[in-house]
Amino acid sequence: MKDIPLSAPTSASASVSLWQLSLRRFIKKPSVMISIVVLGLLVFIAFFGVTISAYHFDDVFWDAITIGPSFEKGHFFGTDNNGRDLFLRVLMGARISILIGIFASAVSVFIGVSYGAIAGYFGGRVDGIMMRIVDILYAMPFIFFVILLMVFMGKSIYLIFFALGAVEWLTIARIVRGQALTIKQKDYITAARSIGVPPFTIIRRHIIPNLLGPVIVYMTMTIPQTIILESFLSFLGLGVQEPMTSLGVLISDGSQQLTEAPWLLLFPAGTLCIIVICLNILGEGLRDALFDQHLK
Amino acid sequence: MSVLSANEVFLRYDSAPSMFKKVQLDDVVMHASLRVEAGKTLAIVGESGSGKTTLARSIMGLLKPRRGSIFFENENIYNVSPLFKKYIQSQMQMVFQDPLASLNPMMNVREILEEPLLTHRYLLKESERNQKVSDAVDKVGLTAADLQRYPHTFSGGQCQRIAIARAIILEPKILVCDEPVSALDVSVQAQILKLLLELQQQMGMALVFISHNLAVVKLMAHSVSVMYKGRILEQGDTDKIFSAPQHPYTRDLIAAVPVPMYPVVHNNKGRLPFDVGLQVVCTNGCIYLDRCRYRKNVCQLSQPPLEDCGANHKSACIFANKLL
Amino acid sequence: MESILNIQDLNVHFRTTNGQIQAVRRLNLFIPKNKITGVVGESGSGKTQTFLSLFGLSQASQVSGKAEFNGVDLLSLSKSELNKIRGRDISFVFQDPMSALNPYMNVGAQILETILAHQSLSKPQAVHLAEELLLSVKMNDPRAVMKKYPHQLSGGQQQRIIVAMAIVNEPKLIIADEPTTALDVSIQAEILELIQDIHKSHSTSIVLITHDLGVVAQLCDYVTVMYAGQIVEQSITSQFFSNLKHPYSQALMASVPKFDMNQDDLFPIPGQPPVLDHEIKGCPFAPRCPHVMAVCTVKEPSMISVAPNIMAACHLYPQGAS
Repeated sequence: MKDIPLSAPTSASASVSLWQLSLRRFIKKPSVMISIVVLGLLVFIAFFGVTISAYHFDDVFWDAITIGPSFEKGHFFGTDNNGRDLFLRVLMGARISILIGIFASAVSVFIGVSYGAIAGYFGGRVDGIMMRIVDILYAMPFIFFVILLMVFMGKSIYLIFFALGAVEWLTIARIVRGQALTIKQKDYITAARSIGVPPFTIIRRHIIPNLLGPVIVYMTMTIPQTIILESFLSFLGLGVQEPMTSLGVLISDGSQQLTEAPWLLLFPAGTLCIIVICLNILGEGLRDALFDQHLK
Repeated sequence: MSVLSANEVFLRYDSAPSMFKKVQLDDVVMHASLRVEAGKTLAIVGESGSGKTTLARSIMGLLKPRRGSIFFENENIYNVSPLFKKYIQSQMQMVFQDPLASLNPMMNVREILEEPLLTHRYLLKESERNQKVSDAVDKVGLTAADLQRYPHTFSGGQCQRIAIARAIILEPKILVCDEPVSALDVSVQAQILKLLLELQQQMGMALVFISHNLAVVKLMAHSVSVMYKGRILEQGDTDKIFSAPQHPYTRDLIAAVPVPMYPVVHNNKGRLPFDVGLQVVCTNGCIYLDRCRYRKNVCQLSQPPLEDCGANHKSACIFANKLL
Repeated sequence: MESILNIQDLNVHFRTTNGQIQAVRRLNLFIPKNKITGVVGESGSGKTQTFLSLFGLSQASQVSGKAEFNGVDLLSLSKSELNKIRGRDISFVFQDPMSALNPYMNVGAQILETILAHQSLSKPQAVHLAEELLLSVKMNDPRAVMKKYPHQLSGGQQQRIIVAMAIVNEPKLIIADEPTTALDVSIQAEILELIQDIHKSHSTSIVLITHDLGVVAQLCDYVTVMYAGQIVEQSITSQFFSNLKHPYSQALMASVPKFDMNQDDLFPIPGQPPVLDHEIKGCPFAPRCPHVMAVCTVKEPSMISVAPNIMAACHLYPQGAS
């Protein structure tokens, strides 16, 4: 068979994986690039700004209580009615919110993907039982569930990670299971089975990499969702506790003083909006990049 | 010596597995018996719905028969120790119809080819493994540069070469090919057929060649089993099946293949009658009854069993050897 | 000889993220009236795109050239004018009958819809016509068939329904794109016979797009072989198989397994068909051609008459002033 010259690969696309192809399509979009830059800048300031600042985020400025945004006094976003600098507090809040968003989503993706892939791949009775459990958990009211957790475990920030993750993974498990059911029909799964690859290796090596696309897209959509959920919990007083803060806490506090000090609501709310919008644009861009394979 | 044999295999698909009950569909394969001789090629011919792919999956150990048994070198593959099952798996490999679909799009060629080695030859050193991978790539006519590439950057014919390389890397005794060329371009089909023939000669493996294309089967196979609606209707050496078919279905099938030749030599034996849409619901009679040109009243009574009608030749027609 | 469709200098381009694909390149094709013309080629040879693009059915980014059908240039027509021609003067039969039929409508309703779209008939007249059509495609008991849904019919029966719908308005030209590829061998024969019957009884011009040389031999009066978006050989079927002129046609014939062949007679064509994402210099078949010469990679051969009724685009034959 040596005498048969197989045509040379078309130059650049030689050893490009589907992931790399998608990534290229992804970063080609201007809206995606802008979102990445904005979000990156925000994360950078939130994580380093607080650290290098001379003041602590809950330092009280006795000479400046509830003043509006002013550059001369050094309070860019003004101060709250306890005399704390709102700029630092917004940065701190953004940091906590982003952390919660990322960690809770990561926890939910990890549990959801493993659970869903196993249910989908094994199918049959295993699938039936596993998915009924998901249904039962789905039926539990979220707030009730969080309050229950609080009662047993006390209030702490880790609890919020856990509570949010524990709710979000249900949807991911369903998505993943559906994907796994489709993927397991593919010939390469049959090929792996006929080679004798053990089931969990098949799940790890063949099923999960091929369903990560939709999961990643969903994850970019869940991060804003968890941030908003956390805000909601904090708003109800179930979330992050004083003096620690999050965007949700700040918005909740600010909304009570809307008339006398509107900046207390506007700045945290604006920051939350920017984060959520950027993440949504990224999610949408990812979806287009991953699933526009027919334009390949 | 036969490396693989199936005895009276009876398979049936369970559709839509549910938690509480299993829904049963039609019988898919009935009373199928096969023998694959070492180093030889057995073809299973049939149209869509004939059960040929289902039978192949069962042979591969992927679908346990309801009744009957499948033997690999005198061991029942559905009733062996896990260790021996693993050995059998390493000795039987499969090539699929759609080459691109049979390769994981997220893995590059090297990873694809290493998988069988990592599963069955995990004691190999990395250098030995690399050697085996490059040997396999060489055998199927690809180059070492292709190892880093991903399946979507190859054409269909090249993907099928990768799939074949994966199948032969463990040097199996049996290679099951399920329509290996029917999804490929005409000009590439012959390359893959030649490649399979060469590899068979080099490595001495047996091929189970599943196809609907009779001309391809005639070229590749030493013996042929003709399937229709889940039953084997005729079985025997290739030259006998093609020169003197002893079942009306085989005859019709051969006559129906359009021959690239002009003027067209129309086979006087006629062609298949129109499928007029009157599904004869006949529980006892011969399954080919509704389309058979030779049918007699006696055919409505029972399905004739597959019986000898010559040396190495079996037919499931009561008029075998008496067809005109 | 009169033409039903005369294509001149047709170019069809596609835009993809990897650049432009030239699916059809500078194609000239003459489809004779009242004959069956076979268009043979592999996937990607442009055989389907040639015809889809003419009738506004392709996703192509750019279609240029001239195509005279029945006295009008198809490529100069507006969408609504093309719509009128499609279904009335011309109809299509596609590869997969199941996806061409609506699974939620019974067969009768679908046929009636096609009839009433182009003809002003009363309901009973239309039903009567539908029944006649079904009989003409050898469906016994048309009344029962019309009440059935597509999935209740076999693949061959579905394809016959499609053929019936294609001849509803007595089109001048039927384009059948791999009409038997998705079907079993035994059913393929009945569909081919049906197409032949229709051709004879209605004297319709038919273009049969296929990759199967056997189908061509059985059915077609003329053969056109396409490779890499161009025509490489045009011939009359009665001479085509005994007198293959273009090396690609020869190689294709030698690479198709046939009954009277043994393993040593099978000669694969080396290499792969070209990817049409860049301009090809010279003859597109040159890299795989056993007779390749220096000129082949430099100059594109033009179609010339190489024997009575046979044209080929190859430098093996003296390129005259044609």
